[in-house]
Amino acid sequence: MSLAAAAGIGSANFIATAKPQVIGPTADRSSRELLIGHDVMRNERIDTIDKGQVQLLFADQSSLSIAPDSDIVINEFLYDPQTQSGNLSATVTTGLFRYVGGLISKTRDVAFYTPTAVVTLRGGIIVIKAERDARLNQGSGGRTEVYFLSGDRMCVTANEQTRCTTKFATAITSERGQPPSAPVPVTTEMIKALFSNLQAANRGAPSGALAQPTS
Amino acid sequence: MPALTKQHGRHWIASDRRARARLPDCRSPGSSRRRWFAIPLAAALLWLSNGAALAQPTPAHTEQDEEVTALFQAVMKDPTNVEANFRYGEAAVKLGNYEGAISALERLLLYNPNYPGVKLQLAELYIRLHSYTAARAYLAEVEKAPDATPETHARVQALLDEIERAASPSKFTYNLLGGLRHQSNASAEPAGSDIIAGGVPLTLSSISLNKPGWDAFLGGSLRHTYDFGDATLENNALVYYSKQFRFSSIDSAALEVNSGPRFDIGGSGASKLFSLRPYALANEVLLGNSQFLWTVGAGLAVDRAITEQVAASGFYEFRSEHFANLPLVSTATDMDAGVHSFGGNLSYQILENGSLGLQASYSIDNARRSFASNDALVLRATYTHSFDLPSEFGTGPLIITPVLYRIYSWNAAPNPAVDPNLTPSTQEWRYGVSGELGLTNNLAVTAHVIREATGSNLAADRSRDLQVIIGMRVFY
Repeated sequence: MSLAAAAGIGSANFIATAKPQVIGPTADRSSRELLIGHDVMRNERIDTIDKGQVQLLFADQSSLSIAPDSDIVINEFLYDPQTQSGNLSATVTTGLFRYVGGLISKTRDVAFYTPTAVVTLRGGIIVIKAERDARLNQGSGGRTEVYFLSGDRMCVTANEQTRCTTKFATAITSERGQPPSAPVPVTTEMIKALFSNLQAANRGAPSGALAQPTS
Repeated sequence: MPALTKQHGRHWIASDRRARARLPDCRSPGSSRRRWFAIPLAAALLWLSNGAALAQPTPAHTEQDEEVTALFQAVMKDPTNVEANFRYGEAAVKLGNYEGAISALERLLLYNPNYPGVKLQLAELYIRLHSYTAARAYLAEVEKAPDATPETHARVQALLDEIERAASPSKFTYNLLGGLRHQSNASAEPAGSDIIAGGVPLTLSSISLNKPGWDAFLGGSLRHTYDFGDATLENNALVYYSKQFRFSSIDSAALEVNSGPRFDIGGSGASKLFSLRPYALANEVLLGNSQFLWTVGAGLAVDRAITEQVAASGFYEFRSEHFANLPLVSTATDMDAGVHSFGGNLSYQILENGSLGLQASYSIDNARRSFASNDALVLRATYTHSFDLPSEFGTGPLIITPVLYRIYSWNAAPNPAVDPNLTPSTQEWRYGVSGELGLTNNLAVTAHVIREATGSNLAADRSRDLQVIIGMRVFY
């Protein structure tokens, strides 16, 4: 069942734009390659391996860019174009992500669950970098860095404590079992490195190798 | 004269009608008016609603909204289509949806990180979002690109300079208007009063000669802000000078300064509940090149964005005013007063390029002599529309603003020297239109036509005036 059907909305709610080598398991856990124009399911896991990259383009005009070697599950995306409202939540396991807010996040928080924290954003743009702790089981520990680039507010909740920032170019870090850090300024070089990992050529992917959209 | 003034980052209303009562040598003190400010019911209801009713309205689908939606659907059908992404990005920018444009351009980088000009455009979009570190990150990539041209390097440097200025906690802005004016009833009233801030030269406007005349004027404002992080210190200086061609006795000059911190309450940035600014003020006014008035005072201003289209503001202010007797106004010290004023302002963007402004103000002027005391109510409605001119004109936009005032004033007591049995009251219509044509990003030509008609139960206070103003405005 597609998300659109699940949400009772008559059109596809989000699609993925992707380079090859992006794997999104279907409900029966068999992997499939996401191509441009594919509908993405609710509770869809997107696991970019090796050089794979993907940008999810949501119906509320928001987008989520996913770097190689990342793993995320879109728990829920609901959007009503008439009221321009809805809900977006996702669970990040590992990797690097850039979320550019759309119409939903202008009026309510969107949420990203990481192994160490819950990140919420109102409007704007964030970059999430989640690292697994190699000593621990998958998804049960590690470190999360969240970079606030624009918007009204970003909050990180961990260990029953919440830290928020409204200052652009600040980051909040969360380590397993620890409360979130205070927001700290980030440098241009740090942002540049993050952006670089979200662009194709830096990982040697074939530039301009555009897949054809599916129906 | 009431004036909508751009002060403290918002529009204010000021009224000077009371000054007429204080100039018995020119007109009856009975025509003086007070400066109370009444908050319109609509504004109060909106404020009290805490925005809840309007915070998430059913979105208005304008023609541009529909265009963006259609272009976005085209992108959804074919996200790899470069032209579709660019067209969507351009349309999104016109709507102020910079995130949408960023999303489109960064999508292109996913496929080809070297699309010409894309990173430069991304840097400009991040600058518009005030996300300067992200903008610098893209500019650094543009600068080091092997195929960057000298023009590209120059553009990068210009944007870096822009970031440097914008990111600085200390910022200056100025606004300067100069020009010529003709009045059918020459007066000391300031030209272009809508840009002259709070009360300074306005006190002079009742000094009229019932003769036509020309004058040259210069008015301006200088604003400095310093961002401390948790609060911003705002300082404003406002100047005005008018040189009459025939009647030098009503040459006028004024300087007003105000200073105070601004605090965001209930959050910060766009998510704040409202902002609050206590401030102190002082001014000095010359008439006929002689010292005429000095003032000290303080106020409290509050601003709130209710929705993306609706904003409200309000204020309370107290001024202690001290006049000096002049040959033209020999009993001016009778007008020494403490003036309480408060007001409200509601702005509503009703069209893509058009906004409506409604203001109301009320003042209580407790003068040293009771016949010089007065109350005044000022109501003001404006509509501002911005027309984008075809690009081949090389100018624009053209901004047209019709304006309508209704002003009432009531004196506290009769003036024994004029009519001991009549307590004056006046009603005034003031209406007109102003136009401004942008010549460059920092220069515009302006024109105003304003007609005033004042009725009163005291014959001496009845008057008419037609002002025609042309000038140039420089701003930064």
